[in-house]
Amino acid sequence: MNSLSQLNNTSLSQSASFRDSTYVSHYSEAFNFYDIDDILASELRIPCSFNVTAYRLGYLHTNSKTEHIETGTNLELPLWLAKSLAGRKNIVKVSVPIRYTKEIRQELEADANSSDLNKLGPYYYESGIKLLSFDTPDVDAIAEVLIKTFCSRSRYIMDRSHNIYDRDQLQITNRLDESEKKLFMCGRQSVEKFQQWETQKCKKLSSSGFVRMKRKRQFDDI
Amino acid sequence: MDTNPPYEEFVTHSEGFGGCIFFSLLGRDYLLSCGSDGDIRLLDLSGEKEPIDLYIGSSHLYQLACVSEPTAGVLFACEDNSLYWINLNLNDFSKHTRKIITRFASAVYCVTTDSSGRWIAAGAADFTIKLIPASAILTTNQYTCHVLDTHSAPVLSLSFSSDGLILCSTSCDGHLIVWCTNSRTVKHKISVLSPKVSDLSLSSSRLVAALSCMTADICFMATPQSFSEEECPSVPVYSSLDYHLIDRLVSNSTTDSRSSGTFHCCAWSPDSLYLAAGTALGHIIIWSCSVDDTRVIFKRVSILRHTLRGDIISVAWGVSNITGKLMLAAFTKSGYLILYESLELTPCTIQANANQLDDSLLDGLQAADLFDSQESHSNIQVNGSNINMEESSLDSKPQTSPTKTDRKAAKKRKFVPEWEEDIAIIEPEYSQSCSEPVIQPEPSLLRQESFQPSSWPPFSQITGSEHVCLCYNLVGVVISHKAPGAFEAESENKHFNFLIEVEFHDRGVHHPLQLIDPHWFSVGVLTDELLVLGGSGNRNVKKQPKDQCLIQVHRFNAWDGSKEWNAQLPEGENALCLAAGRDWIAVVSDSLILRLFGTEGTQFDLLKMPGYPVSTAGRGSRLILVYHQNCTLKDSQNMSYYLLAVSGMKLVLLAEGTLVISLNSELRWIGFTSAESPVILDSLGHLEVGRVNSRGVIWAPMLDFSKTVRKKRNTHKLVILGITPCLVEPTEDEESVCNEEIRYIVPSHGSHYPSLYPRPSVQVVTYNPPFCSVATSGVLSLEQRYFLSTFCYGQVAKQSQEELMRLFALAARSGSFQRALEVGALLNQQYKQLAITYSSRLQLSMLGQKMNSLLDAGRVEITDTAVTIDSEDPSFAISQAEHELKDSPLVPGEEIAPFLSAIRTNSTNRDSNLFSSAPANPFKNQKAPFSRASSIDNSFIKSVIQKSLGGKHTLSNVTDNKQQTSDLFSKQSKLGETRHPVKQTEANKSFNSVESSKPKPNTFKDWLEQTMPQLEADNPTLKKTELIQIATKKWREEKREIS
Amino acid sequence: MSDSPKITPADLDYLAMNEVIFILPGFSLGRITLILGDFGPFVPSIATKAPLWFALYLKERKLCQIQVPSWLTCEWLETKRNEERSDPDGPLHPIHLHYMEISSILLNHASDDIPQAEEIRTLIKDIWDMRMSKLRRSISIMIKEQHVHAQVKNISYMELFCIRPHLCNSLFLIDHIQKAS
Repeated sequence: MNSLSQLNNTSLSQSASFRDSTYVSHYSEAFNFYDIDDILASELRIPCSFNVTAYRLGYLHTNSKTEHIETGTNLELPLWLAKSLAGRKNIVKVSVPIRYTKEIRQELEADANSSDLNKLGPYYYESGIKLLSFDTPDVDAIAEVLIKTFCSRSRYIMDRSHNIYDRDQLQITNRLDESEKKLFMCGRQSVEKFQQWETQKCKKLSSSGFVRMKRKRQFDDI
Repeated sequence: MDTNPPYEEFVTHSEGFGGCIFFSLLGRDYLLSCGSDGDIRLLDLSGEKEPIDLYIGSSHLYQLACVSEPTAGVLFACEDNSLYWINLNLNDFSKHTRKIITRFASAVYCVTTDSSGRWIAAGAADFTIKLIPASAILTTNQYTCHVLDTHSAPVLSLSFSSDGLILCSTSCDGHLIVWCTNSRTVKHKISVLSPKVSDLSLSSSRLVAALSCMTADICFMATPQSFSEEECPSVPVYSSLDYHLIDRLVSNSTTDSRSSGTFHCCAWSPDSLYLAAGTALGHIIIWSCSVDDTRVIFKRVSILRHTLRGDIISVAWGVSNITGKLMLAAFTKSGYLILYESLELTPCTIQANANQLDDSLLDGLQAADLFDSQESHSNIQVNGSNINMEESSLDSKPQTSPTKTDRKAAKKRKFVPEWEEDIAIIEPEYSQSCSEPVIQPEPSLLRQESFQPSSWPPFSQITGSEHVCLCYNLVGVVISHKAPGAFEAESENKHFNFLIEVEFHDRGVHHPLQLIDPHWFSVGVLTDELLVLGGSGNRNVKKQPKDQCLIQVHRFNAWDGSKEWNAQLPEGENALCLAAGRDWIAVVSDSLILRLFGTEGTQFDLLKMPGYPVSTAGRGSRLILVYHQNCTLKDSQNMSYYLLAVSGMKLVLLAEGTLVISLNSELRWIGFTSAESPVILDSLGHLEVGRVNSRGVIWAPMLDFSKTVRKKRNTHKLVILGITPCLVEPTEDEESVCNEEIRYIVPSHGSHYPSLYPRPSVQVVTYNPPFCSVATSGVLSLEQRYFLSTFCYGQVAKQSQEELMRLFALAARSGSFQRALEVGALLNQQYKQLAITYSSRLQLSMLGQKMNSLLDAGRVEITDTAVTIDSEDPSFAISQAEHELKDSPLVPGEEIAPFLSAIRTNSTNRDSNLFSSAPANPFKNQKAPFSRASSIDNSFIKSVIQKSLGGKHTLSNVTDNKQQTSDLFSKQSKLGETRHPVKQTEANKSFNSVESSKPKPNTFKDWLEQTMPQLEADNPTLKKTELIQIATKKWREEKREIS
Repeated sequence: MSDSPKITPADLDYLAMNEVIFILPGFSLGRITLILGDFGPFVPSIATKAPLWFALYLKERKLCQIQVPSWLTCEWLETKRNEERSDPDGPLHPIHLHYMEISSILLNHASDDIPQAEEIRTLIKDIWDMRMSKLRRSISIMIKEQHVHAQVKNISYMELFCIRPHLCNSLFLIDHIQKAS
């Protein structure tokens, strides 16, 4: 009740209270150890060039036959590795991954709605956010592009998610990034619950789907 | 003439038909017709005679009227409660603009305009007629619309005279009312049809009033009429001057009279020479009418037969613009339009037929009939006194003699053929003029019909559903519906049953009931224990002989399990009103007998009423009966009442007299207050309550609903449910002076009676006697408050005395001392002392002295009658206190007696003490000059008195006291009643001053004085009386110790 | 992020039941003391205030007749609908904050006491659709134009329930991106 009144009367600015009530922020610069999405997001391959030689790590490089990784080799390392290597130790020098380069960015800026973010990387936003912690010159541009893309796509997501009669969920979501998918599901759920309430289904007891399908019952609704 | 002149037939309005009218515009003749399919069709008579759709609608249209004056247009009355107007666009008939002229609360049945084009009149099923100036068609502004609502059933037809001065209207209630257009008042009412019917569909013939003007001053009204099947259908014609029946026109001679069927419609031709009437068998019969100075003669001119086409529903005349001949159009029920474009008719003149008698018409005529018809042959008689006409031309006319009309009235039921006779032979004797004016009896009000209070009148206009509310009172609702078809199969005679639904406001009394009613009960009353139903409207119930009325009583929650019983009234009687009280039921029948029954059916008593009953009501053991005295007066119904009490199952007359209601009003509701005083409500919204004493009843006006109910138009339609004690507890700042409230329901805007589904909300109001109020409105003035408190509580009750004190204070403060004295004289002894206190505080010595002398006079009475229990008297309070203390088990009576006797003597002493110390400075210093004993007693007695006069509170306090004292002894618990700190401090002060010098106490009283402060210190939260109880116990112990 | 909302429409129903309405009782009872306050005394067929849950309880046992609140009439709702319709880009107009819940409760349980119940159903649906579309449009504008601060007036609880997940989560995502950069 308290939170409702807050929601009602105060402005919907991004304040910390919301984070406590209905939302748990999974976004953090620090890696969330147990979160699958986080793990997958940080698998983004970043092209790096070694500043120093890495001894006896030649097997990482698929093409090389040498035992060590020489200085100047270009390798695609996952983000979590690149982050620690590029940090203070400055072992590698990172550059922007393909998916976040200027051309793609321009494409996204041009027409955000029709691009297939799923193809561009199922964790485009999350990886992008993690990418922002690197010290590349494109960082601001990437951030801007991310925000702009999301803002223009959010309308589409909202419309689709609130239209519960659109049964073909797969077709809608196959162009959405993972985080967008989550947003979509959120919206869907709330509207579904509303509809259930409207039709008074939530007041009726019904057998669970699993049970219903496990045993073939004569009468469907019990 | 038996052959029909040439005519044409068209088929229009196949669904059923409404009305038609001829219309002539720009040299072309048109015939407009409207029907129940909602369309208006136009027939261009000068052209190809193809029906053109002028207007297509969806609701049944009942009648048309044409207006040519502001713009050419058509008015039509529609079933969707509106009167519409559309303009005639001659170039393109389908393009028109439609406008609503006015709306009614129910379907509009008729509309007409007068020939001068000034007025439009429309009548509807909500019993009203609206008279609208014709200029309203074009204006969008507000226009005055006059509502005439004298009819008590749907209005069927309207007709203006050609000069527009007279409007006559007929309605289902069987009356033909003649109105004066300018003043919108009723000129006359003729009862044309004896059974009153509720609706258009039930009326056996459609009463149509057709008005025609022969000369400038004489109009005729013709209405088709049929009483029952045995009698011959006829069209009676009335003169508009004296409203006498001039003639009764029939189609055929006696032998053949049934062949034409009942008349359904009639119309006068535009030149007023002919009257055409259409019958149920398809004939159109035309009479010609000729007038000379003394007589009006009708002769049947022709019969037009169209037996194949069904009943003729409407006829209309027109004059062709082109040929100048008469046109006649007739519509049949099956939708045929029969049009006579040029009708050749020969008017009859008096001279021409003076010595002839039409042979065919004389068939079957007997000698007796000749003489009969002589007498009933009417002349025109004109009375100059009550019509605005020049008297010079009329003085020489012969007068009506009353005997003649009596005979005519007596003959109304028997059919008498009236043919035009050989006038030269017959010279009625009373055609000799006598010039002295006959004394005209003053027109008197129409006698109010009997009604059952808190019920709707039968056949109330609730559209859609046909239900009648038999009783709607504080206990519940009794509604009678037409039962749905499911019950029809069960009843043997295929007549529908009624269904009576009883619903209680408080479900705890009884669950809702549904009873099948084959007897068609028409009155009912509901109490907590019984439902009484009476009347017999169904003449077709097989097992029951006709004309016998049944009383059926259902008992709820009867201890012996019995459910219902019936009583049959003797033959010829019909139950008009019912009343029920505690253990008895009263039935009033139309043979002026009141019967008293017990609740299980035993007949106990009979009473013959001196006049025709109006209404009756009962509550508890009282019954009031209102009946008409001999005649109604010009401005009053002149009703009387009997107020009876039912004791020992016998009626005892308590009071009788003239019923006091406002002038020009009717009785709307009668009932009782919760103290069994009679209450009446009249149609102007005035509520009066009667005060019963040994000599009779005085009626006091207590409430004016027209001032409280917001929608003033409905004040005469509100339904009072009953009067109950107030339920809402008074707020703390304003004590209620009235302990009763009136519950009523008001019909919503536009309807006549409150709608039953959903149930209306009950409004509540309390009395508001019309005192001259100096204060702001809404706040009861002090005088009103005093009046109400004496009315509700009695003159000596605390509330009344307090109001009197306030009045006294107000008068004293504002300087009107005599007024203060007058008020002060009404106070009782104790309050007189307070008044003296007050006046002394204001330093009004004269007033104080006068009050003292009053007090003295009163005090003398007290000492003389110390023993009598009189609630005014403090000794009463004392004896009551004694009583209470006796009841307490812990305080035996003997120990108290000396104490109380001491108080008693001290009371008189107290008065004298106060008296002696009066005017100068009596109460300013509390501690000062009194004898302490008396001051103690004073405060203690005050507390005792106040508690005892407070009634219920006292008893509860006493019981609480018992509880408390027992608790005290068992648990030492403290109960949270607030003490009266003032008394305490008073007592404290007095005691403190007393403590020092004390003789050894040998009476309880003295001992109490001594130990009181100690007790108080010990138990600070207990009240005075509790302390006294503790003290008495201690005294007992001490006494035991001593002894 | 995809936490299901902690409050459900059934909870909103429960909160709406505290609403005080007028009933015509069919029984007599003295004053009763409830958490909401004192109600009564109940006298047959005299309009008395009672909380909605109590009224429904009585209605089920056929002990009372519910009087429709003044905002649940055809005329009032039509005016509201026309207001909303005439102002498609403007703010939300004031309406009873529990209008969806109370109207659905009353229409389902006490429809015989509501005159023109079917029309009221359609009117409420129309009003809901209009308000939701207004809300969605303004939300999408807000997100698109990256407004930081917004104020919503006269939003009813059910509408809040429907839009809260989407709005909050999208704003969080944006916030997160911005914070990271």
